[in-house]
Amino acid sequence: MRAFISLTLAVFRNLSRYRSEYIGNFLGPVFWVIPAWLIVRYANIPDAFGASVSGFAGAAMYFFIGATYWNYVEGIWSIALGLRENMRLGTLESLWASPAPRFSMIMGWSVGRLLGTTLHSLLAFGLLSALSIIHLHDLSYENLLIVAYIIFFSVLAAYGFGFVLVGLTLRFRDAESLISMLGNAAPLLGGILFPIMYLPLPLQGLAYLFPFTYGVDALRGVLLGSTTLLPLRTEIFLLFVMGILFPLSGWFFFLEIEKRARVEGIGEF
Amino acid sequence: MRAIFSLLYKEISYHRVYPLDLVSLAISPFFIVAPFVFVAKAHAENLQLSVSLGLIAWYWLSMFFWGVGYGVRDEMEEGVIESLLATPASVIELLAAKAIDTLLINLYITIALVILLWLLAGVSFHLNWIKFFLLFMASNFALASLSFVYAAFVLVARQASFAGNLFQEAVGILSGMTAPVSVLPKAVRWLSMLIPLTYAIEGARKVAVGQFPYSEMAILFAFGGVLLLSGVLLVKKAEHYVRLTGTTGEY
Repeated sequence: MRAFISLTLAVFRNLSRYRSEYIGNFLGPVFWVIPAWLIVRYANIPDAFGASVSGFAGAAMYFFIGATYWNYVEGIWSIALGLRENMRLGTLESLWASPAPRFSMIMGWSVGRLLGTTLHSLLAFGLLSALSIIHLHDLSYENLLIVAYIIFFSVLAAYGFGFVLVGLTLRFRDAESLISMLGNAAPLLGGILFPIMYLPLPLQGLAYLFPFTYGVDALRGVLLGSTTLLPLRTEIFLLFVMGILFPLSGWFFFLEIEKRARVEGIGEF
Repeated sequence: MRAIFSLLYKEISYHRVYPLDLVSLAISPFFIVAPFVFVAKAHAENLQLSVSLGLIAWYWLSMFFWGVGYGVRDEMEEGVIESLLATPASVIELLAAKAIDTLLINLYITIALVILLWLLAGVSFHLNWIKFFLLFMASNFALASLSFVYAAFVLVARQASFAGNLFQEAVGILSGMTAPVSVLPKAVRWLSMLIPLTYAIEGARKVAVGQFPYSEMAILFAFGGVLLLSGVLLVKKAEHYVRLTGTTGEY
């Protein structure tokens, strides 16, 4: 627990030391939303892929939900990049040699990031609302609970990927490229900016194996009343199953890799 | 000149040692660009080529910013900048080598993007490739020169990734990366006119409709010349500053 608290505090200390980086994170969703929204403006088709919140504001909201949702997932995945940074700076071995449990370490790094993500998502929402680009209508308590449920299980599923990425970072010299490829592929496959039905069939197949496809789709279904790929209940159930299975299998993968890394040494770079 | 070639050889050696980097450079840009291309496809199919060209040109800028401008940070983090500065080679030569390497990478990325966007997003690139290549060279000259100015900032500010990110994204939006500048509010359009990327994107869209982008290329060369001169001057000043203050190891 002490390791977890210390590392969470370390993340916040780092944020306060490099405040400009934090502002960069807060602007992340804004830079997804505006270029996509400008396409819709230019095409002059005020449509949010059939969502009940129509018009240009509906389209902006559609993109904003996708971008914010992705920020949470990325917040967890970036643990692996943080680990890589420690490798570059030559501090990973000493950190790894400490008696702190690995689980507490990873949770400590990520919980701090998640809290930060929540704060800057609210700031981004505030900024885009102030610019009258987005509006949120009629959010009932029941819907808020469903939203919390979707985010919770999506975050759990993201940890599954996060553990695998941390394992790969420990093992492979080229892990950064691998993480970057996976990290960049995910928003496309998950349909962060558009419904996955526009993807070519082979990519659609991959998208259906991806928990975030259901997460972001269900979230839009609840918040915007958009038509979901599968019935909402089915998506929520699939997210629950993936939210349990992914972190468990990811954690076992990580333990196996870590065992090997202890014998054979941490991957070079 | 020998220093530039040696440093270029060092940059190219990285790609040999990290082959997965080359795979990532071929595939990752597609993943970054494609979501916007699919948004265009979903709204109006005839926008796909225009959006693709805008994003490809924006990617050139992105590569120069991280490969050249922010690239000096690699040497700082790896702790080799001091030894490099102790040799007769200057930071300008280091940046020149990085710029040539990035130019080659941009060519590689552009080819990969065109193929992947055609295969997976159905974008038809009916272009005059000779005109497009000439525009590519003019644009890359202007954008490389701009990255020299950013490199001077990185040397002095040390922690400049936020500024780089913000600049790169804002410049993308202002220069009409996904939609022509005419969609932007009038109040910010004058800013677009001050950004070389705007002319690279407009030029690429002109090539797409069969025109030769004479005026855009002339403006890009003018931008390139002015920015290169100011960049070299600023980098020399920044190099002098870090030599005096000894801050190369801090970031």
